[in-house]
Amino acid sequence: MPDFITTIGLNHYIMLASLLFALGLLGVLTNRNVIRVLMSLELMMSAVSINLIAFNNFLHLSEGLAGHVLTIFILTVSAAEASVGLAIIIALYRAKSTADMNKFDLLKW
Amino acid sequence: MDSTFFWFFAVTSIAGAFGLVLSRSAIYSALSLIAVFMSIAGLYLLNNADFLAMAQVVIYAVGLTILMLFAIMFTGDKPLGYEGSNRSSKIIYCIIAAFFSALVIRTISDLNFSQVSGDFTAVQSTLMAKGSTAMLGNLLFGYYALPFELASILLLVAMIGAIVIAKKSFDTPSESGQPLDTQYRVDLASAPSQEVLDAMRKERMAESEARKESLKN
Repeated sequence: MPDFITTIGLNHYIMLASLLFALGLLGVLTNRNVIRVLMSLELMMSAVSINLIAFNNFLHLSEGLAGHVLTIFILTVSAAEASVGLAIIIALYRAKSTADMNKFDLLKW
Repeated sequence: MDSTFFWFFAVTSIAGAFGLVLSRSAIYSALSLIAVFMSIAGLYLLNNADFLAMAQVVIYAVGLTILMLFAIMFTGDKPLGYEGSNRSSKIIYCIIAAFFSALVIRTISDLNFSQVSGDFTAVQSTLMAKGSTAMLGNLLFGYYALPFELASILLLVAMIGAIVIAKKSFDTPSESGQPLDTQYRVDLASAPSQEVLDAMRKERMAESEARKESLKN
C-alpha cells in the first residue's frame, strides 16, 4: 500500500479538517433552515478544533497541552453561541412563524 | 492499525457531513451531525486527547444535538432546504466551498510535517500512560485560571441572554401603554371554539386510522 495510506501524519488531519470545514461552509451557504445553518456552524467549529488537537499531538508544544486548553475554550464558546443562537431562533419564530432564512429580511434594503 | 482507525473515522465524518448538508429533513441532518461528532471524538482519541473526546461526546454529540432537535421540533420540519433557491447560486456556493478546501489542501501538501511526527517526547509518553485529564486540570486551574474564570462569566452571560431573548415578553408595556407585541398575540376571541377543535381532532384521528388500515393492506 502507498505510504500516504499507511502512515498518518499531521497533513492527513489538516486535510480532513479542511474538508469538514468546507462541507460546513457549504451547509451554511446553501441551507435555508436556520437551525441547519446553526448545525453547519457547529460542524465548522469542531473542524477547527480537530486542527488544534492534531497540532498539539504532532508538534510537541513546550508545556504539552496548549491545544487541548484552547479546544476546551472553543467548546465553551460554541456552547454559549448555540444557546443564544437557539434563543434568537425561537424569538424569530415567534415573530415570523417560520424558520426560513429568506423570510428574515427586515434589515435588507 | 492506527491508520485503519483514522480512515474509518475520516470516512464516517465526511459521510456524516454530507448527510448534514444534503439530507431533506432537518431531523436527519441533526442525526448525521451526531455521527460526525462521534467520529471527531474518535479522532481526538487517536491524538491522545481522551478527556476532550469524552467532552466532545457529552457536550456536542449529546447535549448540543438534543438542543438542536428540540429547536427543530419547536419550529417544525417542513423541507424548505432547496426548492426556493435557484440552481446557479447553488453551483456558485459549491464552487466556493470546493475552492476553499482545494486551496487548503494544495497549501498543506507543499508543507512537510513528516519530520515532527513519530518521535515521542516526555509529555507525550506521560499522556499515553496516564491520560491527559490530570495535566489538563493542573493547567486549567493554574496557568490558565484567569481565562477559565472568564469562560465561566461568558457562560453565565450567555445563559441569562438566552433566557431573556427566548422569554415571552407579553407584559412589557410600550410608551403608549400598549404591550409591545400586540400583533403577535393570540386573539382568544377569534380562536376556534372547543367544538371546532374537537371536530378537527376527530377528523385527524379518523385520517390516521385510515392510514393505518391502508398500511396493513
